[in-house]
Amino acid sequence: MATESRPGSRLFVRNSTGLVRSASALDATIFNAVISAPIGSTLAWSIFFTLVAFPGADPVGVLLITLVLNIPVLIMFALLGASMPRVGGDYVWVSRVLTPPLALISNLCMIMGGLLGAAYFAKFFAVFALGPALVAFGTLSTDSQLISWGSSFETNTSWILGASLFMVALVTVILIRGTKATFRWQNWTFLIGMVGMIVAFVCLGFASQHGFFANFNTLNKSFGGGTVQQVIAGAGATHAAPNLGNLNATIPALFSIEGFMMWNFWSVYMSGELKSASNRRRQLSVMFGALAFDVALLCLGALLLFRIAGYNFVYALNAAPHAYAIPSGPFYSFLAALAFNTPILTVIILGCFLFWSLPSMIANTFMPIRSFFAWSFDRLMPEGLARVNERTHSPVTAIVVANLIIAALTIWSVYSNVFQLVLGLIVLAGCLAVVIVGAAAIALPFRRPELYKASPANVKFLGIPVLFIVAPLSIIIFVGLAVVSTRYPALVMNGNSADWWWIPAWFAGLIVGGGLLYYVPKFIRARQGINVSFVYKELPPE
Amino acid sequence: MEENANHILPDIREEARRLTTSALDAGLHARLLGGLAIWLRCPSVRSGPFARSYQDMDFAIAKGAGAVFKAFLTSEGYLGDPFFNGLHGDTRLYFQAPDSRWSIDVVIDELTMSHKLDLRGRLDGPLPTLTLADLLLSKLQVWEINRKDLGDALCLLADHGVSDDDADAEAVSLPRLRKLLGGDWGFCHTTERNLGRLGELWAESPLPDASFDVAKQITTIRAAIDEAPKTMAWRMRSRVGERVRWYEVPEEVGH
Repeated sequence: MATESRPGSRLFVRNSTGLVRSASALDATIFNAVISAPIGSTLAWSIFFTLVAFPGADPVGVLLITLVLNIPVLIMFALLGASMPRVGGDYVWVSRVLTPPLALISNLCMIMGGLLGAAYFAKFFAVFALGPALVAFGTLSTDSQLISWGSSFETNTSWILGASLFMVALVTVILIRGTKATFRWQNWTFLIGMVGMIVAFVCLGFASQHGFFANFNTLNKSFGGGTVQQVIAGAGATHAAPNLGNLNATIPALFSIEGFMMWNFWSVYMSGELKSASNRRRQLSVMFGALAFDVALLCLGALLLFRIAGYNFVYALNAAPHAYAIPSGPFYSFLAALAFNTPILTVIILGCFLFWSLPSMIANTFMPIRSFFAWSFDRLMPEGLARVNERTHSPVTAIVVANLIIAALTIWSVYSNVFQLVLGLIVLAGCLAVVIVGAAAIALPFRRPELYKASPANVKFLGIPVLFIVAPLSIIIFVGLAVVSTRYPALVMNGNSADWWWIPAWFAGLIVGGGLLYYVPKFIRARQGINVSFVYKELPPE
Repeated sequence: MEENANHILPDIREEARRLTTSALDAGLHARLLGGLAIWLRCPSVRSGPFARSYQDMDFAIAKGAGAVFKAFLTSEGYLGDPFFNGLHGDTRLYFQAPDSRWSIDVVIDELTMSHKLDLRGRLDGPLPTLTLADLLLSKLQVWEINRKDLGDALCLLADHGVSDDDADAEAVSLPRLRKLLGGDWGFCHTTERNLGRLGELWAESPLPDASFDVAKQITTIRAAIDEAPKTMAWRMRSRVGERVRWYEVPEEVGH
């Protein structure tokens, strides 16, 4: 904006304001933790399916591998985030260091992750949280109506849609209320969810396998199902065991699990509102804090479940055998509640589990809104998109647009068979984004030498600029992930290797889409006498 | 824009007086704070050892007055920072004079710097500035306090007494100090430290024509703080003390 040449105005002298930003380190750490691998929902759905999808998968071992793989990635994002703490994250860095079209491509990749992630968690609420909770409460209280409602929320598309869209509407209202209110909701719902998980962990830690099996057998039998041994036998899981050395299991499991573990850098999109965002240590701590938290608790949760249920029984449950007749999916919280099968513990565990969707939806939705804001400020989008409502002081238009897209994606996810596939493709989008950001990180010292020299990214390890270490490593890791997706059809080809072309087509679509997001507005603005290229010559305001 | 710019006076002090009068006349819940508010209310700061120049104006407005106040400043010829105001507009606004001579910072409902000063319900008094107690607290809450801030606070206490009557617009309200500082240990701790530094400054540079003895004022204020009832949160935080940082560090955000 400072480069516009309207008379009498907009050349701001470089003044400064003392500002205490609204988001704390805790807000940002929780933000990263819930967008990447929210403990409750990740344990419920995102880990144990790998046992069946990739027989021999060792989720705990794979989680530890992802911990290592994410180290260079998070360092790279933290250094860039501290050097250029701006709303828009990678959009700002890549556009100002490389070129705007690449920035729109990387940002589009991230935005798709955010929007689809929010839609996923909206649906998750109905199918994996509300439904099982009602079934469990109905079973406890022998109330068939609750069981029926619960089953409907798990399987009936209209019920799923209603509950999902309710969550989208709720998130819209929360975001409109402003940043402080948003983080309050995020933190409190995260805390409630964690209370339930801690109770679940304690139950799994203190219960006996004998007691758990007895409870399961009684409950399953009441619905016409079999015993634990019958469930195991029915799924052919008698000899199932983890084997980290089995690469045909470990590598695709790694893709699946890294697919949600890779996002602990998400706080870069709140840099405009994060306290001490330009402090390297702050950026590193909120990212690695979230990563360590997620990995530690996911490993603990998995080990506790294996302790009480056994690897082969967990495998069998995820294989959906006929012998399993309980009208609720065998989700983590449900199983944990079965450890003691007492009403109060069941209510706490399953009731608290209801709160996992909301913080994840908030974190997923936050980023696209900030990106729209950044784009609008650079004149790539109509200025109205960044207009702030005078009453709520929040970008209502951007919030509503983002949530309308999420609502449409939610509707699609409910009626579509390919939504899970798209979630896998989002991992590839993330790979492309990280590669582009990696290129920007390598180019920063050459393309913006003055900025680099003065920035927190100007740090060396054994005499080598750290960016020159972590950026190439990040690129290698994520190119490797993309290559993995081509070798295992179950990941993103719907199990059919003949669909390999989806992968290059997907990348091509992202590249073309990102390019259009830049060149179409550029063309339109040029016809209005505005050259948008100018804004990329300097960093946007803080 | 050319016509609006002519409303703006060349001297920031007179411009602050003009704007605050206009805002009052318009019934806006907006009050001046900061150095210029001290200048308006305290003759001691206009000359002598603590006289100084001013680079910006600071206003506090009520939450619902945002749109009206923005329109008011725009009609007076000031230019808003759209990015800053869009991103932080629920708590802060920023405007500049068209020739960038000075800027106007606007806080909404609360002043959050080293500590949080809640101004809700305190922005509709008869005078164009915050109350004297709030002005004093706005200075004493600064952790990285400098001579300018200390000088402002000193002049305020040199020109105005303290009072137990919260309605006395020409005195520093002790009830206000007690209530705020009895509820926030960190704010209280910083204030007490700065009162000590204020006493040192007064000993070093007393104002011979002052209406009040600042040292005695500080003693009275300290006593009021000591005797103020402390909330449970205050007491619990006091046990932690300085082991955990008790103040925020505002960041410099460029425009």
